Amino acid sequence: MLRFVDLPRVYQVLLLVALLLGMAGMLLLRMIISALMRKYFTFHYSIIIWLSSFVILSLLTVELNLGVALVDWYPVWPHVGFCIIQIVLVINGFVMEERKRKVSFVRNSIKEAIDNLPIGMCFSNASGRIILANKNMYHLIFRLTGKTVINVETLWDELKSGREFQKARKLIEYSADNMVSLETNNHDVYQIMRRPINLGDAEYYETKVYMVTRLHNLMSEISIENEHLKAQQQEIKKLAGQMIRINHEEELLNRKIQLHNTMGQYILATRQLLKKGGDINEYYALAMDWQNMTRQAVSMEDRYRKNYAELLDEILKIAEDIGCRVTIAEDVPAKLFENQLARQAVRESIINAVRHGNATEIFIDYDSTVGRDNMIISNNGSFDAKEDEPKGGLKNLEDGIRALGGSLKIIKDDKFKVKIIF
Amino acid sequence: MRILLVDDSKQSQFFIKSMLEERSDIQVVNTIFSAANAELYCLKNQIDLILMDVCTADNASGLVAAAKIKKTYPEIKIIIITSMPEHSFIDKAKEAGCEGFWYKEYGTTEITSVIDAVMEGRICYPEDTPKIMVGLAKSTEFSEREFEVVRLLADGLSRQEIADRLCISPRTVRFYIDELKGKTGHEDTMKMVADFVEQKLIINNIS
Repeated sequence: MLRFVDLPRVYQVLLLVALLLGMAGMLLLRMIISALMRKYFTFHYSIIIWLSSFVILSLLTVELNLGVALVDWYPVWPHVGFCIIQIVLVINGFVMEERKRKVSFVRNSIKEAIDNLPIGMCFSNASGRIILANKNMYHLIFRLTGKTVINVETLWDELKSGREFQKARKLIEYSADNMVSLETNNHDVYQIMRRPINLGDAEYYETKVYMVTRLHNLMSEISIENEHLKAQQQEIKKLAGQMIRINHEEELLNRKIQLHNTMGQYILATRQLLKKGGDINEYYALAMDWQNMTRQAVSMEDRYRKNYAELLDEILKIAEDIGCRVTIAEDVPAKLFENQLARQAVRESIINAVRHGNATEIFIDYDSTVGRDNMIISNNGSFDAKEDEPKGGLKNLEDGIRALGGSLKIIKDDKFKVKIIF
Repeated sequence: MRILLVDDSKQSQFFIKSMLEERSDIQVVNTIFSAANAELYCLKNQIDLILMDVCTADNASGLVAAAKIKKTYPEIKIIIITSMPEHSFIDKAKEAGCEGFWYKEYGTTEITSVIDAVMEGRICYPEDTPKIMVGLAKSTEFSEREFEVVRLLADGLSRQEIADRLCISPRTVRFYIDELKGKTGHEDTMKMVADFVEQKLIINNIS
């Protein structure tokens, strides 16, 4: 038997080259077998790897045995190493295949899950090309528009602009910038919504189609109910206004009846006095009673029964609100403020004192010299010593007081004072 | 928007306030019974708009108060509110410089719509006074002159005094009175005047 080392150098090199070429050829053969099997057969790729590797290993084993049989110097270790490499490659192939299978499983699961959604859903890029769409998307769009979705941008433009489609009409009142509502001929309502998705620099769009018939019907019912409620509200408001008027008229009627009864009594009393005669005091007392009663009758204009205290209280409260405290001396009789002019005097004094003198306090004092009510209103504000004549509101007040026989005088000493004699 | 409500009826105040409180941009800062006190309130309080009744407590006229306030505070907007269909109120409100007018019962416009229009700078008045029946006639069938004659009759003036006041002859005054009686179907002049007053188409002593 020949030994390798006995061979001439040229033959040794040639044999080694042939060996290497053989290994390469087997690798190539394995790849070709794998490719052919993947192309023409539906085997699982790992099976392909396994089969092809098995074939190669078998060939190698045969080759090894033949080599060993023929020449005792046949290099075994490179073949063993090559087998180890093949085994490693097979294992690696299995691992990679398993990973691919898992990824493929996830992708398929996603697709399956999306396909099973009751809504239509699709993802497209900025130009409208569909990246992923479920079955319902195609199905629902065809049902609504009679067209197949090829480009989502084109579809969206048509939905936005169109009113009537082959099998549905657009509900303008329920459509918006990113939403279109369509109603089919059998009154099912669908909403098509679109929203952008930004992933880094890339822009994508998600388009969804929902059936919202029930929701739409509920909204229509609510809208009708709202209209009814509005109408009822209007009616209630109108009735409330009428109620106020009726209440007022009832009050007025009651006052009229009261006045009529009182007047009747006074007429009887007057007739009695005139019949039987009486002294001057009795006539004077009756005249005063008539005067008071007449005043009350006139003040029926004040038909919401604001009593004098309430009217004065409002002035004092507002004064407090604007930062001006009103102090009424204890000796001021409450009856004084039954006179409208007295209340007007307080009001005008406050206005003047705050507006022109920045007053924060008003003082109301009283005396009854000469048998008449004298009201003196002063304040802690600044004043112009030169101005003596009342102006504006005080002038109007003075005219009213003079018409009733009274007088108004401005006094300036340490404070600005208005003295009113009623 | 800060609103001052001037109305001498508590019910009316409650009713209007409850309508306004539905809006979150409206705040009723105070309610006042007498229009005469509105100017006092505006002295140091920031007010954007006043809802002013015409006939208020203490015999104070909302129209007079409105004219005073518009003189001193022209920036404050005023809407006259009333339940009286008194014929002259709309003209008097315009003379006072008020930006709006609203009938509490007769109007078809919501008070909030009037407020919005006024705050946007528009003048908002009803097209006409409410149609109130006086006897057999609607209030819109009477002329301005006829209203003037009835008003002076309600003041207690004689025909001669009315003629002098209006610079017309007594015969013309008689003609107007006959026209009014014919339209309303009243045979008695005093009953006719009383009907006008009863329907609040004539309210005297409101300047």
